[in-house]
This record gives sequence, C-alpha cells and structure tokens, in this order.
Amino acid sequence: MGEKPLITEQKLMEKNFNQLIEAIIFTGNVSVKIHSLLDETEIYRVLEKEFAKSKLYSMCIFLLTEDKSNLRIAATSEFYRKNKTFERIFGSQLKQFRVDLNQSNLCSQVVREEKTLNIKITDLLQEIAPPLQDDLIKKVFGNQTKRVIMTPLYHGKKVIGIFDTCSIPLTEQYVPVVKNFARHLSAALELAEEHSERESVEETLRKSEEKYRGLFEEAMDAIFVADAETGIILDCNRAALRLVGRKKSEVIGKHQRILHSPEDVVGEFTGSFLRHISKDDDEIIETKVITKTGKLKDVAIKARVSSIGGKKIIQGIFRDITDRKRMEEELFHERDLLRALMDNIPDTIYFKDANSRFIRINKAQAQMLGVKNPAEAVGKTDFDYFTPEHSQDAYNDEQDIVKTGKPVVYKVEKIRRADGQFLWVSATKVPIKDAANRVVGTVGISRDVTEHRQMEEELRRHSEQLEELVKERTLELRNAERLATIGETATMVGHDLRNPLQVIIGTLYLARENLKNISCPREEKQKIEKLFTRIGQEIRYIDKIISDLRDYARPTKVELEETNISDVINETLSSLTIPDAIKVSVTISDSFPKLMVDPTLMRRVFTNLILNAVQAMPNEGQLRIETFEKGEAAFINVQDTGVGIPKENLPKLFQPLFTTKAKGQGFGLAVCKKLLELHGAEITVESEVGKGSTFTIKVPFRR
Amino acid sequence: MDVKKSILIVDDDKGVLGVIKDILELQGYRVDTAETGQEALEKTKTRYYNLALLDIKLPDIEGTQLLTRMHRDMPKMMKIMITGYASLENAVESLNLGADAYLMKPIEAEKMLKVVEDKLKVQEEAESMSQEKVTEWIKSRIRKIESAHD
Repeated sequence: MGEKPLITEQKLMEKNFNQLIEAIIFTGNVSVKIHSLLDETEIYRVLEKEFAKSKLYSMCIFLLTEDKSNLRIAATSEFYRKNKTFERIFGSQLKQFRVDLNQSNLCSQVVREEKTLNIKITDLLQEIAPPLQDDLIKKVFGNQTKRVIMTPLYHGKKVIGIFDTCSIPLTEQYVPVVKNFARHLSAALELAEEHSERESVEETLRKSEEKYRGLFEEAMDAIFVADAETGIILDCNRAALRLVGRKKSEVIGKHQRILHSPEDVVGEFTGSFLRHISKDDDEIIETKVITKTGKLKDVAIKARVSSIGGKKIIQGIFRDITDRKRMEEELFHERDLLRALMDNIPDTIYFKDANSRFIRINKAQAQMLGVKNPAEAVGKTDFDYFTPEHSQDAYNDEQDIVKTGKPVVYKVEKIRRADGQFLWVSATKVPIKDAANRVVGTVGISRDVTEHRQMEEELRRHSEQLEELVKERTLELRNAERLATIGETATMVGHDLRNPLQVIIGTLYLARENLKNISCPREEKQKIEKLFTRIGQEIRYIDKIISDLRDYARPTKVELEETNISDVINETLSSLTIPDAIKVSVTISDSFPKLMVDPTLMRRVFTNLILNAVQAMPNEGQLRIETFEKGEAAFINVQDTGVGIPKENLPKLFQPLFTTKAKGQGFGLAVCKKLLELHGAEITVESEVGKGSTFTIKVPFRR
Repeated sequence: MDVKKSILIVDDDKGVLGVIKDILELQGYRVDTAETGQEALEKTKTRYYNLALLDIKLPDIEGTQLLTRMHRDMPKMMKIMITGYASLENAVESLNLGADAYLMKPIEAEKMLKVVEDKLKVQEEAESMSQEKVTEWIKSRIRKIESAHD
C-alpha cells in the first residue's frame, strides 16, 4: 500500500511537478516575449495570443480606472478565443465591463490589501458577475474545479490592477510562479509606459521640427540659411528656389554670391551680406537678386545671425519686391506726370476738402490767387482771395457737389484775379470720392476764356453791325430800285413829253407873234401877254423837272482829275444869274489843295447848291462859300442866310422828290448827294429856321 | 431877204414838224418837212436846202447816221441836230460827225431862230468867200495875161 500509493503519489507529484515546470517555462517564455516589447497594447496582444495558445491557462488583466474605484478588463485570453461564455455571463462586452471594488471583496483584497488569492473561479464569478447569473455560472462552471490566482500589478510601488490566471491544476505551488510573472508583467508595462512617454517627447520634437520645416518650406518669402563665416548656403525653402529659378542642388553648398548680381559683389561677399553680418539689428536692405537666367529681381532682405552648435549661421528672409517696386515706380511716374501737368498747364487747378479749403493748387492757380508758393494757399478758402460774391457762389457750387456728388461742368464765371483784373473763366468742378464712395472734396479746373469771350462779344457786335448794314443796304437797294423805277419812268415820260412840250412852246411863240398883229386895246393885249408868260414859265418848270429826273436816274461816269476847286466855283458862279440883292463871298486859301474830283460833276453840284441858296433868300441875303481842311479831308461850306429848313425835314432833305418848296426842284439835293457819293465824298447840312442853312461837302484826301 | 432860204425839218412828230414849220415860215423861210430818214434823203436829192434840222431819233434810221450821209453828200448844207434831253456825249458825237450846231428839245423859238440865222449867215459868208476867191483868181489871171501882152 505504501509503494503503490508512493508510486501513485510519486507519479502524481511527478505530474504536478512537470506541470509546474511547464508553467514556469511557459510564463518564462511569455515574459521574455513581452520584455522586448515597448508598447502596452502590443504586450496585451502577445499575452492574449500566448495564453490562448497554451490551452491550459487563461488569463485576464484588470486595470484600475482613473478614479481607482473600478476595474476594467485591459486584456484577456478570452478576447482572443472569441469565447462568448463570459460575455453571456457578464451580459455585456468585456471591454465595457466594470468591477466595482466595493462590491467585490476578492478584488478589493487584491487591490487594496495587495494579497495574492488562490480561489475557485466560481467564487470570483459569483462576486463580479451581475446578479441572477448564479444558475448560469453553476451550469457552466459548477462541476469544474478550475481555480484562479489573482495577484496585484504594480507601477513602482502602486497597484495598478490585477493579473489573474485560471486553470485546473492551480495549487498553492503555482502562486509564486504567477506572482513572479506578474512582477515581470508589471515591469514590462512600466517599461512600455516609460518608453511611450519618452517616445511622445521625441514625437513632439519631431512634429515641432516638421511644423517648422513646413513653415520654412511654405513661407511666402524666400529663406536662405548660410554659414556666416564662409557664405556657403546651407539650406533654403521653396520660395527661395522660385525666387532664383534654381533647383535645390544648384543652391545648397554654393556661395551666397550666386544669388546676387556681380555689381553687388564686394570682395568675396556681396555688400548686403557684409552689412547684415556686421550689424546686429534687423536692418532691411533693398537690393537685387539674379536668377539662373540672369533676370534681376528687386528684393528686400531681412537677416539674422545666430549661433547654432558654435557655428555662426545667417538666416536671410528675401521678399520679392519687384511688383512693389514697379508699382512704386508707376506711382512715382504718375506723380511726376501729375506734377508736370499741374505745374505747366495754363489752366488753374485746385483740390479742396469737403469744407472748400484748398488742399493743393497748381502754379497757375497760385498765380491767380497771387501767392508765390502753391503751399501757401493750403487751408485757405476762396474767401481769402476773391470777392465775397464770387466766393459765396463758388462755395455754394462746391457744397452742392459735396452733398449730391454731381459735377459742375464748363460753368462760365467772372472772377477777379489777385492783381485786380477781371477774367472770364470756364470752370469744371468734380467730386473727389473716398473708397466708400463718400464725397470728401472737390477738384476744380478753370480755363481763362476772357479772350474767347471778348471775341464772342466782338463777333456778336460785328454780326449786329452786319445786320444793321444789311438792313441799311436792303433799304438802299429798295431805294435804288425805287430810283431805277423813277429813272425808267422819267426816261419814258421825258421822251414822250418832249414833243408835246416842243409843240406847246412853239405854239406859244406863234400865239405871241399873232398877238402882235392883232388890233385890240393895248391893255387887253398886255393881259394876254401876261397869260402867255405864265404859261411859258410853267412849261419851263415842267422841263426842269423832267431834266432833273433824267439826270438823277441816268448812270453817271466819274472822271477824276486834279481839280482846282476855286476854278470850279468861280465858273459855276459866272454861269448863273444871281440877283443883286444877294451878296456873294468866296473864301478859298491859296494853300487849299487840289482835289481829285470830276470838275463837270462838281459844277453841277455847286450849281444846285448855289441855286438852292439863292432860292432860299427871296429878298436879300448873303451867300458865303469857304473851304477848310481838317484831318484827312477837305471841306467846302455853302452857306446862306435864308429861310432855313425845319428840323423834322432835315433827314429827308437828300431824298429824291422831297421838297419843301412849292416849286422845288425835287431832285437838286438828291442829285448833289448822288454825285458826291460817286466821288466818295459826303454832304451834310446844318440849318436853323429863319437864320439860314450851311451845306458842307467833305472830300477825303485818300479814297 | 432877196432869196428865200430853204430849210428841211426832219422829225417823226407831226405836231413838232407843224409848229417849227410855222415858226420858220413866219420868219420868211421856205420850209419842207420829212417824217422819216428815207423821206429826208429823197427830198435832199431832188432839191437844195440851205439848212436841215435833224431830230436825232427817227423811226427808220439813226439821226447820226442820216447826219453822216448828208454831210458826205451835201457838205455845204448847214445841219443842226435836235436832241432830246441832251447828254454831252451825243452832242459831242453829233459835232464830230459834221453837225454845225445842236439844239435841245424843247427848243425856245427865239433860240432856234437865232441859231438858224447864225448858221445861214456863216454859210453865206463862206459862199461869198469862195466867190471872192474866184473873182481874185480871175483878176490875177487877167493881170497875168495883160502883163504877158505888155
């Protein structure tokens, strides 16, 4: 009985011992595997996998939640086996499963008292599984003798959770093995955590560098990093490559000189590089870079020298300012154009603010205002320079523009310049608007249109004169037509009257002759003689009218010759019979020049004038003829002391067929006027009723 | 007046012809009249007139033209032009064409008679002058012949 039981016991012991050794080897292997792992998740994964493979042992790792009141399942070989038993028991997914430490005495003992327990699995399940699952547990595990060893997991000296392993043969002998494994596991987890912490620092560093690299690479400005001592370019970003049109390999390792135009190179380095190196402050230098193809670009460079690892590094940020430079130049150009316009245009230009104060004026405007320098007018208003009326008018215009935004175009204004001279200007005023389309001021440009205006005025006057002239000429034409008609009639009448008149005159002569031979009382004869005489006079009067008519209407040829007017007057006087009651005096100075006239026509003029004068003095009087010179003309006066002509008749005096006398010639003065006008001479009259008349002939020397 | 002087009046106006004829006849002149240029020319061909009064305006021929022909054919006949309202030009033209005088219508009878008388006297003197010359020439011939006979 001794041996057999011994053998049996020995065998049993041997079996147990072998199982224990296997367990030690198994846990040892797993320990080795998880030791090389630095990732917590990976450790769990390996554990789950290894325990699942063993078929003898299962395991579960509980970890304390953050508030340390619950346990969660971090890993279990059941996960790997996809064994749904536990899920059925726990009624939820294992991941979501929690063990309340206050509800589980067993777990609490392990966590809080740091005990290692070797218990029946059903005891544990009954404690941690939700209530009413007892039957199910009994059904699944009831007749099993599976046991669980629960032991704490540590981080340093702190319990972080529970490692449990479950198997049939777990006796007290296994406890040290499990505890040992749990220690290894704790160490592995701690190591993994430490590693992950370190890794996270490195990650941060790496990410930060990546971020910096990103910033560096994506920066809008070109960035070059160079060795401050040698000038060799160490790094550059993409914008930098774009700036110089080169590949990275064509920049890095090269000298910074290649970036700039040869003119910028001073000795070994470029001027800008040397200046940046020599100065500590972040001076911005504007210079040019040269591209691979030789194109020059304007850049502004800001550089900083720093020391990295004992090496002096210069980092330069290059901003391409070609566009800005071009815009600047365009702006300058535009400004120059504007200045040239402002300074040279004769039109006056001003800019005013919304309150009509000058902001800027050009030279012409300065001159207009009487200020030497255009700047003097800044801040002033029209009221400082112009009349109050004009200033108010202009102010109203400008305020209207400010209010309505509507311009004033080509408004003609009269203004007084600083020197007192009045000018007419054509003014155009337009609003200045800001970005928000608000009117913030006005621009005005004015042109001197005085001359233009004067010309217009003159033109207007001229056209009025022309109109007057046309009227006059029309009247003259109508007169001429009238005269032509008169002339035509006169010729006809004259011709037709000639013969009857001849017959009457002849018959009258015969009647008189007959009368001589008739014997009748002497008185009777004389009476008839008187009647015949009267008929004779009237016939002569008819004859004269017809002659005048013809003279007046007939076209006359003027033959000018140097004429001694004194001779003409004397010949005329001697051809006429002037009554003795009229005294005649002719006063012509010896120096009176010879005149270019037609002597025959002039004789007719004087004949008419003298006869008129004689007729105006029926009783007695004085006929005075005198000459004088004045300016560019010679004058001859024919003056009588006769009856005179009423004022209202003076204008009509020279019209044909106008006469104040019952037996006037009707044509005498009209003929005089016509003949004189053919000479380019004039005739005028002054007269006073009861005192006499003076006819004045004006003969210009030059025609 | 021993022999009646003959005068031809040319005018297209019968009234004018009549009154002038009467005036001249009253003074003892023998007067013929013609109403047209043609008639005047015919009359001067058939008989001699001492003097002609020619109106410058005639129905068939210009008075100046008539004057020219008469001056050519009858240089000794006195020719007095009668013009309408005279212009210097046609007066001068008339004189150039051989008129001995001109009168302007309407003509005062006295004036006309004086001009006619004056012109006839001039004609008479011219004739007697030529008569004297002939006499003188004959006398000198006779003297020559007589002296030749001596």
